[in-house]
Amino acid sequence: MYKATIGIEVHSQIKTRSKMFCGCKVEFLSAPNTNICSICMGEPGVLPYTNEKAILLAIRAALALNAQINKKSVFARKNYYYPDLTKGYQITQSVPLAENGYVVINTENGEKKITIHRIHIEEDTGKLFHTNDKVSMIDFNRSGVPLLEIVTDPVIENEKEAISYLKRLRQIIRYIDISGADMEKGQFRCEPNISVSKDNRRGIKTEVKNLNSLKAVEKAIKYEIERQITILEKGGKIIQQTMLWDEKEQVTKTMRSKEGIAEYRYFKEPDLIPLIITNEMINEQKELIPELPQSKFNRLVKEYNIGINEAEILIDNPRLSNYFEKSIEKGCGIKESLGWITTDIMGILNKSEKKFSYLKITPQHLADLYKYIENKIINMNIAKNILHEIAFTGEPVDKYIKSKNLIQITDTKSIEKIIDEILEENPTEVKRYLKGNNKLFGFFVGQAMKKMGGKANPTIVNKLLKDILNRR
Amino acid sequence: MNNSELIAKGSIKEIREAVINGKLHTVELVNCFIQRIKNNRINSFISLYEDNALKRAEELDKKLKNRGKPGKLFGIPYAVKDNIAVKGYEVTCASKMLKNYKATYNATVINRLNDEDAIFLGKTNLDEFAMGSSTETSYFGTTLNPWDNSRVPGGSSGGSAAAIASGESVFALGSDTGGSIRQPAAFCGVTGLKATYGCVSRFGLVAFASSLDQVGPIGRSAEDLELIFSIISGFDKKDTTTKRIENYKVSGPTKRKFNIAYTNDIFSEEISPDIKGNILSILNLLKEEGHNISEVAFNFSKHSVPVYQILSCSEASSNLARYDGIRYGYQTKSYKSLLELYNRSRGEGFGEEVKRRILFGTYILMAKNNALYTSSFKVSRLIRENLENIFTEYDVFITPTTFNPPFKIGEIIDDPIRMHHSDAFTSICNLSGNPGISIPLGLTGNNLPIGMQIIAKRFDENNLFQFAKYIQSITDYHKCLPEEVK
Repeated sequence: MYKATIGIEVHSQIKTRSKMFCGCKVEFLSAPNTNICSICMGEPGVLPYTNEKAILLAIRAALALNAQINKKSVFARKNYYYPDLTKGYQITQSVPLAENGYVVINTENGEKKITIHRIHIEEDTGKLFHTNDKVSMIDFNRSGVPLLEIVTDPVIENEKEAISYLKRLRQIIRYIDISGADMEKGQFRCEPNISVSKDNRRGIKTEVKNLNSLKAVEKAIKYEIERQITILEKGGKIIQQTMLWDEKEQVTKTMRSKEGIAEYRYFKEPDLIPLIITNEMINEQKELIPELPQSKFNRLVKEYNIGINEAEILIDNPRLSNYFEKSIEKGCGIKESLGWITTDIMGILNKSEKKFSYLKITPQHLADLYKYIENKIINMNIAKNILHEIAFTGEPVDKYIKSKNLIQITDTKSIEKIIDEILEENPTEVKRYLKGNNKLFGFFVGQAMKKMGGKANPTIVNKLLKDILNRR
Repeated sequence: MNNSELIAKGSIKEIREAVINGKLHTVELVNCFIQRIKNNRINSFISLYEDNALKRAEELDKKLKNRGKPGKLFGIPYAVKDNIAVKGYEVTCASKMLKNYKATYNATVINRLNDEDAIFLGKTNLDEFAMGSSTETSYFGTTLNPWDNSRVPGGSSGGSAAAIASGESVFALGSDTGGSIRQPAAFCGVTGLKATYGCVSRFGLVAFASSLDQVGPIGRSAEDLELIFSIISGFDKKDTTTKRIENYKVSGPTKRKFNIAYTNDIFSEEISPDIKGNILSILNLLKEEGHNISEVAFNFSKHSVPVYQILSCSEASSNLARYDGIRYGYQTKSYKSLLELYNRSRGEGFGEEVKRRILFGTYILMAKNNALYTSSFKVSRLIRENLENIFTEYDVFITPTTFNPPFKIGEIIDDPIRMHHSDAFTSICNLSGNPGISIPLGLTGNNLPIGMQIIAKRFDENNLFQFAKYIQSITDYHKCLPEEVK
């Protein structure tokens, strides 16, 4: 049996208004080369100065990732040539901002700690666009945007764990509000390194780049593990190299081998003094960290006795779980609230491609709907319809039910009257039912409900229908 | 003093007063310097911005008429080494690479001088990217030493030092990474300061070796330099390596007795007899005046150059990586690949000495050579500790600025080891961060200037200036001018 060993490097943009080492705006959709200045363009004679906000946000992240913060960290230069790199070096850190953190994930075998080796601050590069065979264009808007690099130890065993880790990490980053962590916008980039081995010795690793979605990460890791095993099985050797994920062909391809990797000539950045982190800075950031995903997960499961999958859905977005908890607080049933949130509301948002913040239904709405159901004034189907109708209007439930005359029909007399009517209207079906075609029962229920505009209490309809048919 | 004497020899204070009192018009003053620059043949300037300087002079004259408050440098013309950014003007670094590159912003030091009503004249010559000790590596040709045109003015701030010696400006800015202000000051018989690292903002100085570079003034006297230092020094948020220290206050005259240490290197065979003689005679004079003089064994002068080369070239190899021919600066005419674009642009744009240092620095920074780099840091620290030790007992530490008086143009340009060797005494201050000033100390038998370096405790420019001003109050060496200026 082969065992895979995976480590992951994540680059997350840090959400600041200005860049890491100059005052230029950070904006995703600006026209090319509009958010640039002499500093991020690396003009002769300029010097970097540190963005304090970015450092504070990075501290918050380090704390949320349970890492030890170095009171003194040191900036360094990583030297290499590429057209998107304005200075011929990237400013990164040799002594990182923080070390020895961890993220807890849920696996089939319970909780697992994914340990984090180091967390450091660096600057992003510009972006190259290859317009055709002969021309490449460079946009330097991204040059100097603050990045947080988060590197795990090689403790991940398969692609599922990798995805759980990345999801949890992304959740944490969003919970503490230091980045949008949107992969499509390049705010959250993952580079796994993978090796396989039959014994306890670590195999030779490859690194995979160009992964633009979690799906791609999952597929690429799986592919790479299989590729390496196939090579070893045939008696071949793994070459230490960087691979590129080809989204079209769904394969990894060689980008460069270790021999070709630049010698980065790291050395201490002489233009920046060491970064000194004070206890005040740390304490200030500690206060700003909300309940984090894993503890929220555990609490939700315990406190509300809900399923693991549902809890995962709720904690994926802190606003969703807060919404859920608010609705319970306001008096909604747990099962009902969960169902409405995870299927109806999520469905509505997905279908309309709108963000959660556009939703006008409040936890109070859910509690109100629940009250109507409990009191048997409306049924579940009507409740779901109401959710769809008021999703983006936010009309109060009371008002809506009254205006649409949706109060449930529970009066047996009128229900019996309707049942008689539909049986009369469908004589053939009645005959077939009486001859033993029980499936038609549902048909009669449907007809009756339709006639009553869906407002009848389905339990009563079922009972009465059965009674009436039995009498025939 | 009549006006022409004042212009040739006056202090900043004297000239400023004459201008403010209406004895001398700013336009007249500036014109006089412009004429000197134009008539001179020593190639000290790369560019002269005559119209701008005259326009600025007119503005200042108008300001005076309108009873505006005159700045501390009111009407004083200055020149700038061409590796310091002045917005809208070329900053060539004496390199083909940046021949047509115009700065898009002002260096912090330029803003501070202009705020005090100084007048920018133009840009002075230097060794390419400040790498050299003679200005011979300049893409625009060598500057000639005003005392002897067959000799070099020193470097890399050779243009600035020569401009002061030949009366082309009242003061000039230079930059000093291993001695680039003090050595040319010594070679040209003028006064030059490299302040404590972290005192003067580097924002706008084109970087050579960031952890060693300092901008500093070259001028007619320690008194003038102290005034300039008080203006250009201080914290700058654009340069995080500047220290948050109190604004420097110009020191008053003193009657105190100094504790003076001098290096035993003075008796080394390598020191030219004229330099040794003049330094010993000034030490004697100081002794006669009642100061305490002691010889100190300082064993680092032989280590400073290799350590300096390793550290400065390492940083330079990274600092000069940005000149890739893509965003600005020289770009090769034709290329077929990215690599060729890089190789040709850099190969054609940089001169020999710059390429030599980039290659050396690149080699040093490779992971396998890390030991060389880190042990150089250790030596730097030892030098600093050693100096700190000296300053627990002494106010100042005296060394020669150079081994020899100015050498002939072409004499050692093909011998880089010998050329680099001339940084031995000056680079000590860059490695340790201490302030150093070179003051003129008379002439050799051949009428060539001699310089003496005074080193003080870090951030103790006050002591440094008090002592330098004291020497210049009991001697006249700094008033010596080359024949043609007299």
